Amino acid sequence: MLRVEQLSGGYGQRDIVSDLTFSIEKGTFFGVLGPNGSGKTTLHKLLAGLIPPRTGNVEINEVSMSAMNAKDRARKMAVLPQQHLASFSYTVREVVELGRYSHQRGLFSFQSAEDEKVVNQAMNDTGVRAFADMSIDRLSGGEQQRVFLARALAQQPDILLLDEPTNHLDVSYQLQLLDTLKKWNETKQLTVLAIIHDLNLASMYCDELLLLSKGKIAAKGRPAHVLKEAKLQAVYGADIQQKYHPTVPSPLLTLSPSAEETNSDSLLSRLTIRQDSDALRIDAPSYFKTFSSALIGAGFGWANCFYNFQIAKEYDRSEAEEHVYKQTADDGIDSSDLVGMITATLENRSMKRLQVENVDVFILTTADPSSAVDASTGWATKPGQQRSGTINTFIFIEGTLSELAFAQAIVTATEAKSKAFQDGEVVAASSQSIATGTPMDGLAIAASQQEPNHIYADTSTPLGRLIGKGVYETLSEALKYSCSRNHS
Amino acid sequence: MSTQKFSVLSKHTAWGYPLFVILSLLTVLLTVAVGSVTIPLQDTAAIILNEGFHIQTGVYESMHANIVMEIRLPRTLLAFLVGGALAIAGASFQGFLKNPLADPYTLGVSSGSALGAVTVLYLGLSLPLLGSFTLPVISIIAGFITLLLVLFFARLIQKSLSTQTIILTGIIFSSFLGSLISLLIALTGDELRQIVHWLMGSVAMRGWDHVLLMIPFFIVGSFILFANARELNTFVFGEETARTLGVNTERRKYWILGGASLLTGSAVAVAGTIGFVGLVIPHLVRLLVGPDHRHLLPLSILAGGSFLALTDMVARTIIAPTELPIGVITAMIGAPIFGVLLYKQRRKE
Repeated sequence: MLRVEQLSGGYGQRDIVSDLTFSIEKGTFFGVLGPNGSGKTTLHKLLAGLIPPRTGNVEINEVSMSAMNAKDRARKMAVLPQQHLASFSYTVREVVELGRYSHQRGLFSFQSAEDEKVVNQAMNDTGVRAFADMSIDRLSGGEQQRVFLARALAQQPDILLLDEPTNHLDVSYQLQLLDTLKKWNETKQLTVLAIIHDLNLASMYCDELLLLSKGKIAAKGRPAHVLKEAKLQAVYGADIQQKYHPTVPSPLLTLSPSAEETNSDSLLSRLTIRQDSDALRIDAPSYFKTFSSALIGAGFGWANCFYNFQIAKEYDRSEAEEHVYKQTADDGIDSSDLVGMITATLENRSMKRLQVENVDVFILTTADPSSAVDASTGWATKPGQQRSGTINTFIFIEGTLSELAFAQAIVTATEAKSKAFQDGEVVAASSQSIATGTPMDGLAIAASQQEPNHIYADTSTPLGRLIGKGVYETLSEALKYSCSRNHS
Repeated sequence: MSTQKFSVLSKHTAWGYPLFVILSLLTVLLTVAVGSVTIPLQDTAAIILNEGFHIQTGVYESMHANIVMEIRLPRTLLAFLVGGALAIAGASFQGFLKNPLADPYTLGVSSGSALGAVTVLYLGLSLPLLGSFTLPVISIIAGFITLLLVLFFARLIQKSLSTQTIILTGIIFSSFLGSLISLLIALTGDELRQIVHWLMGSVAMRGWDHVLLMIPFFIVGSFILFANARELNTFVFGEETARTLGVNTERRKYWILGGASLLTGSAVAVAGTIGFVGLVIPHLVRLLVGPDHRHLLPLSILAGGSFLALTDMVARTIIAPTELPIGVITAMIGAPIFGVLLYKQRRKE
């Protein structure tokens, strides 16, 4: 319904936006994003007819805006302004009635019954009817915003334009306003075009996004597509990471401060490893981003302390957990900074630092294969008692891993583990076949999140290859110890 | 309960119009009656009805009839027209500029018109076709040009045209134009000394000629502004908002500024520069009936007219037989109110 064709324009001789072409379907909640100076506000003013385009054309329902007079235009498109400083104390009703201007004809026309009905409806829909006879400057910022929204709706437009509607509002008002808009958008098929500064709000409310960069379209499409990290980083020039919103299926983005601790020494060289009688402890000089299947600190997290606790072979899971918490608390460690695993052995262990060019990995493995199973046939056997015989692997990586890289590192390490079992001829007692691992294997990937960047960690990448090699070699060695010990 | 639920606006305008009309009629009656020779109110009413409308209502002295019809009534009507014109012009400037401190005087429009008028008097100009209308026409044009210059210059200083910037620019222009007027007066010697008195604002020594001179401009100017009352309501929210609401801002802007200049220029041409009427009156009317220009403009005319007629009465009676220039009294009332408004405006910003 809205078509923008090769639109260029700006102030004076300088084009701020150039050659924009896009279209918006009826009923779309359309968001325009971009850093300061990308041309968002210029685009808004061009669309609203506040500055004339230098070249190009804007059409609403296939009628060119330049062919419309001011009133025609106002009946098609309403604008919710950014600032509303009224010097005089109009009542809410008077303000909303101004929205009917474009529907009135003649020199001295007054409100018709139709005008009155539309004005009342608009006030009802925005929840300001109760304030109708109050002066607008008595209202709070959020209420005022709703009054101006009612005025825009009283224009009965096909499309509503908003320039950073949430700029001056606190968070609860922002959400309230966007919720109201979304409701109108959905129930009345009102097309909304909003310039939104907040990437997360844009992602949650918009059906489609347009990302502007230096006056040109950098991306357009569904939020998940447009808000790709790489694209945003290139456009915003800042470090933005994408997560997923906990309750809404929308991408969530976080900014991280650009200045981080820098130390020329590799962080991996500064890991400290200590072994007590019942635990192996690794301390890191700074927080590592972790992704693990550990007993404590599983999933994604940040940790600077890594524990491998030795407990009895037969154990109760909750008891073990309690034991670990107590132990770390005694050592003065905050459990939220911790990745903690449990093992039956600390002797059968091996560790390795591998470096190839800019890839730097440190791997530590402890192995007790006494409860080994074959994942492919294990389904046929009864689940045995929980035993602490496990393979625990800690992989420390210098660099920033994408979430994909974390997941691929897990896959790579697991494949290498199975291969080590195969080559070490570890037999699963229950199925009498070559085992693939043990139940409750612990695996932790810890990345320093400093330079360099690792987007992938599959077996075709240098990082993946080092992980595969490191896990295979350390595990093979640890298994060898365990065999020799068992045989002796 | 629910029947009590009037809107503030309708409640006030409901009594606003009859009240203001009655007040205006009483004011006219009173100001015509009071003077060096005080004429009883009912005689005054009878004279006006009989002589003006040929409605026979009572007996009165013929000398009183002469005083009323030849001296007092034209003077009161002129004061009323001038006051009404300045008030509606002020209300329009304030709405258009979203600026409660704007009025013909503070914007420098009055000074521009005065310079135009003094130039006409100094050169003894009488343009062909215009005749006696030369003075108001030149006055109006000079005022309009001054207004455009003030707005242009203020926009150069600060694009958003804040209250203070506009007023400061107006004061700069007023001072400059005032000095040009003084220069002209100094050059002429004695004959234009009376201009000094006129410059401070006065409706003294005018007659029906001046009333008739003023009326066409008054009607046209008021009509133009009434026809733009709804547009003025949108301009209060900013020119960009006005445009997105469907107002052809480029065209309406010139109608509004032109209409207000027409009223200011014609008022200055007949009565000199009378300050603060256009500032104080719209402010008071707004307090009573709200800021909707559809009501604010007509009621400002009535209130401004009554105010200036009363002020003129005070000016000519308070230290009789000497007459004060009317501008002295409006400034004595207006300047403190200007100060209060400026203070409130600062607090708001």
